[in-house]
Amino acid sequence: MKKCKILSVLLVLCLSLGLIACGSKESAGNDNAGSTTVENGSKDSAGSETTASKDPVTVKVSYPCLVIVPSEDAVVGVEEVINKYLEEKGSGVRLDLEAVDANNYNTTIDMKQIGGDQVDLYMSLGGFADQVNSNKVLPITDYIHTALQPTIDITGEEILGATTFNGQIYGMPVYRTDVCTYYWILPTTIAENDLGFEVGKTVTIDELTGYLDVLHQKYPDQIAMAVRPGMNGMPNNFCLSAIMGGPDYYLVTDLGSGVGIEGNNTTVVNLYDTDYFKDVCQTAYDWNQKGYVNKDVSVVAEEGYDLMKAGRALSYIIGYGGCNPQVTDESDSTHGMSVMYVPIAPAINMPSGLNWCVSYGCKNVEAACEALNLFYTDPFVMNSILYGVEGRDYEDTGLGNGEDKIVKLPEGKTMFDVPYYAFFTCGIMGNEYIDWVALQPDGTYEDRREANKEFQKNAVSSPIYGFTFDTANVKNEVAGISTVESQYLSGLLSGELDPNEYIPKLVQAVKDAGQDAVIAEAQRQIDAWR
Amino acid sequence: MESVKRAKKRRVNYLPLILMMLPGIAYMIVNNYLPMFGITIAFKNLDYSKGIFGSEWVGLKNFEFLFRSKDFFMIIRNTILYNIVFILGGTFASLAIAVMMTELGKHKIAKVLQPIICFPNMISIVIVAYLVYGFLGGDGWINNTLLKGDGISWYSKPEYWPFILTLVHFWKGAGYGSIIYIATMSGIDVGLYEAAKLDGATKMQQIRLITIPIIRPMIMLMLLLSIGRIFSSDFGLFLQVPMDSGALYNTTQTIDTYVYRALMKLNDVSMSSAASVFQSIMGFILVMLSNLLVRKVDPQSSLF
Repeated sequence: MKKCKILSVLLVLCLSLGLIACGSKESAGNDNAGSTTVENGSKDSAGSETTASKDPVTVKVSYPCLVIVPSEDAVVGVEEVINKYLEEKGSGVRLDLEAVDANNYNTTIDMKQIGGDQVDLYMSLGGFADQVNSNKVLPITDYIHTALQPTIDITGEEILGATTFNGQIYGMPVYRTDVCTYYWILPTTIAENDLGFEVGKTVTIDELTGYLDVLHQKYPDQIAMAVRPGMNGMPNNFCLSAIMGGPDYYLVTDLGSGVGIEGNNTTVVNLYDTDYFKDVCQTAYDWNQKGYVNKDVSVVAEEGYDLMKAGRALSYIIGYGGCNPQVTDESDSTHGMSVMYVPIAPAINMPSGLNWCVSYGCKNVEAACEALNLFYTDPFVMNSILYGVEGRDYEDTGLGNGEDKIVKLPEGKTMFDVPYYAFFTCGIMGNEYIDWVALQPDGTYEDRREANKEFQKNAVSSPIYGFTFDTANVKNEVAGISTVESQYLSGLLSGELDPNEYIPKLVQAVKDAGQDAVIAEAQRQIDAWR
Repeated sequence: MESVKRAKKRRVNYLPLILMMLPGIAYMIVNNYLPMFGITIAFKNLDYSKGIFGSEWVGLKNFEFLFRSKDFFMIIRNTILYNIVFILGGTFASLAIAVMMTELGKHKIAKVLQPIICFPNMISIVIVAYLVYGFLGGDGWINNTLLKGDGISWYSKPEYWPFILTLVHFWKGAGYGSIIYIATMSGIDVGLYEAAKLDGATKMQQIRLITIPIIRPMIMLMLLLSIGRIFSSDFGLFLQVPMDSGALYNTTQTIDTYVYRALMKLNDVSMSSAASVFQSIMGFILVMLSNLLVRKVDPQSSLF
């Protein structure tokens, strides 16, 4: 009897403990190693000492991290280094850094904003118009010419067009090489021996089909061209829409929902009804029929480089920001072998949609803008966020030019060993051109910053560069079109469906979903914007 | 004096039971009842700076995208038909398994079998999707080993999928659902079966005339509860298992997958709440109606 009683008391204790344990208020977003989202204002590392006339304001910066998400402790170390530097500089702001996994960045930030956690500066990774409409962001128009003036001096005022709504500016776009170049990636041995490629080779889509034929004949058991798996609802495809939408081909501006502009004009059309789309689907269908691509191409989720590593695929297409006009011969661990990047074509230059915004919950917008300004003008702050703490996470090779350092990982360590490494975030923070160059494992380094800047300057822009389509009035139609797209696009873009049969069906279906209303709305907005 | 003492003793006996219920009840209140005010999100245009209470009312505007869609009847049809098959067939399958397990009752093998039949329910539906892909994929077992030669492109033929999805659903859920029936059946007086055997009843007759009638209230309860969810569907089953293939929409699109695909890019909280509210309200109406019906026919089996 006594044993029963003790047992039942223990049981009750366990159950009540379970209740208390799940009472902690941590967000559901981060399930990644090194989640960093515990909020306690005590991370305010410079709060104790105040300098000069006013107390420094702490601005919370939530930035996305790809591939590696550093742990909280590591981030605190970086914060201390940056805040000490800011204190020495006499700046009025301090940073409270928060590294968030890029894969669920949007959801995590959403949860924080709804849950009342402190969010000051964050990035809108797409969907900027919606964020403005639901009042998630505050306007920063007042501070453009004060706190952000140094940034504007570097970037110029044109890029603000992408974040201006109704005369107010709601975000600061990232200053980077927006335009992508698309490459055909294949093993170097095959490129040189079977196809006779040399450094400097470029290839067009038509030539590509010929080469795929050669590869398919020679290696019938392997996939000549692996499809790019889509994610988050995007369809599997071969990047053909981006390539053929580039300046070398049809120059297409895609506004979403199958609505866009073909060519250098401002007439909005149904993109699914154009020669451009037919060409894209026909090429993919061609490749599919001839057996160059994966089986079940519209549903596979395997990445091309994984298939190459496993020896099941021979090549794939992918796009990278910036220019690599030469064919580069790199050996990297992603592929497990030496591969050649053969440029195909650049894409059209469109605003990246990567904007820094001030959340509606921010108490001090001016301080947030000052902090934002640092990302574009101050190499030390920028690069500390990317690389971490000197000595612990990176070392100065001394090869650089004073403030503009060339850095490498500490001896014997890889990016996974050091406490803090966020270099993969490089393309989406502030000013890409003040990032320090990293030393390659083989001891060489490449400073492509000037080349990228030139490339970006000379890139062919969309005729409506800077325009953002606000879909608030046509939400129902957009939702309907979204469903239709998920039904047909995957099959069409990956070449599983016959374009002659299914493109008319797609066109009819989007019309039924109300695409004409979307086209009219887009045209109206563009005419008003010009 | 004595009766007061006895009454006190009875109250104290309930205390540990109440304490044990407390976490569950607290969880239920916090998770199921407190968020109910959120139903209002479906009728508002959510503005983050004003919060949920401050956002403006827009009536039924958020429901339009669902009702105006020309696929509306198809998705309702799919959802309801699949659920009817799942509920009826699932109950039958669970009952069959429960009867068989009860027969094995005393044998040692029952202890091994029970975890095995429950196991499929614990496998994540994403893994199940890939298991199915292993069977039905282009390089899968069925195409390579059974149907050598051409094989069928399963992921682009919608007509096979009602059967495939039903099969997967039963495989995953029937074992787990049989547990509650096994538990009820174990409470049936063994004496009844012995008496029936003496009277010359066969196994089938025993099942049909003793087991089923006794657990009928439990069956009705489970059925009624399932009807409340008839407008919802197992999202993982209908999205992941067909590998999100567009060609299969006609037979695999349900309300949940439709809402997901429509709103993935829009990221509109109010519209997705509207779809959810629609499902819940329809389910609620159906539960009330069917309970009313059952109460007229068989008062003992109704929920309330």
